[in-house]
Amino acid sequence: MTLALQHSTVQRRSRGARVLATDLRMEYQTPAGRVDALDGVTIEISPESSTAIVGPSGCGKSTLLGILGGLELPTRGEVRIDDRVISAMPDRPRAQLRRTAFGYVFQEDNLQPFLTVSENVAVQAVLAGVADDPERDRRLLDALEVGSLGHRFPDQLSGGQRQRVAVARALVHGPRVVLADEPTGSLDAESSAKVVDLLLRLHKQEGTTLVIVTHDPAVAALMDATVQLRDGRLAVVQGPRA
Amino acid sequence: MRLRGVTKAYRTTRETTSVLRDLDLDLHRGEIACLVGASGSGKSTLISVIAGLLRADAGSVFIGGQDVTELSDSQRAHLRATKIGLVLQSGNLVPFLTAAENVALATRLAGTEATSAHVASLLDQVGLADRADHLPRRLSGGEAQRVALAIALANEPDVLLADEAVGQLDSSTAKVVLRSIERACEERELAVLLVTHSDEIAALGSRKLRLRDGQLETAS
Repeated sequence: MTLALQHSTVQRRSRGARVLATDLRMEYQTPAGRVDALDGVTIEISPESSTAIVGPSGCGKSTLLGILGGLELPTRGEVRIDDRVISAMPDRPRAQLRRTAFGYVFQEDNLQPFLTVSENVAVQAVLAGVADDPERDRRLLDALEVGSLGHRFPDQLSGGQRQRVAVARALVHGPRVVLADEPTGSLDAESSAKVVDLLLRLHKQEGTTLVIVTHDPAVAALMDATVQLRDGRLAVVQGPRA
Repeated sequence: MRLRGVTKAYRTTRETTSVLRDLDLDLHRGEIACLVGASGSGKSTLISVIAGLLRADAGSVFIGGQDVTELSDSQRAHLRATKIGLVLQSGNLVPFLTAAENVALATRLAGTEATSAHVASLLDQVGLADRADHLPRRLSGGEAQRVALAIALANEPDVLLADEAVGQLDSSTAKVVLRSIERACEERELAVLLVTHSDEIAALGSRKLRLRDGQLETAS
């Protein structure tokens, strides 16, 4: 497989951001009582690095990713993206930041079923206020080896192809941070390896900061650093690797 | 909505499977037709053909006087965005947009900018006025499907297609979503085609149809 691109595939705005989370606490009220999903988590993620968040089911991985990406507000603590404290932002600017500074990939691809592959990618650019550029979108889809599928609808693609389109959507607007929550959780081993390989290549090429939640040690081993959670607390931090 | 002689088969190098055979259907404004049928009987294929997501091999699909099968890709996309509301089982919402932003996106895709009052009104109609600023991950399954319904209604469609729209919900939550669909059908005089595997849900429609051997029959 080759990824011979001379120039940035997407419209790069700036390098990846530094992410700093300090003393994060997240409580949920459930019928059974209070649940502490996160309890005093502090991590620093370097600009343009890749970090895996690992740990057993229910340890708070997705909650942490959601807070880092401005999808959730912590009960206590602070999240900074470079110098901006997103955990203290009002709803509207935080919503704007979600559309522009972040790219998200989830286990479910969440592609719009009545839009073609190309339209799904183009919509994200529009949401981020980036100019419509079919040639840029095609280059990106080519890089993810789904360039010939631009006219198809999501239900005409395999799971692995859909997830590669989801990666394209997460990258098309030149985000500073890409957050991936079990992006290969629904895929077979071969499709999974391809998605991760392409995600990492594009992360390096575009200089984004990449944070990935995974239960797969092989995926985690490919990242610069690993953050391990247990019962909502930081258990181990490894890296960054050279 | 009028279908005449709609035929669709899936072909592989080894075999051809006929899914829809010379199928006819008339669906009028203010009518809810519930479509049942065994798994693999072609219910979702029929929805995709009506919505112009799949091309029929033969036949016509008229929506608002236009034959979907005669339109170019871009014309079908425009028709889908403006005349057809589509609610699927799940996955209709963009996860990093709030409920209100998801609804506004639907109008933007149809080429218009929604006012915040229009978005608020749509969410109010499905009983979610207080969920406008919630992200999908903070909505229950029933709430997410009602946001999907608000999205489907955002561009004043003529036809609403619901493909197992309540298939993943418990019975009481499903009924809340179905009541919202019924209300929308009545107030907006929508033609609604609701695919379900549940006979209980199918009994709520004004008509019950069964897809068997590629053709529609009236079900009891």
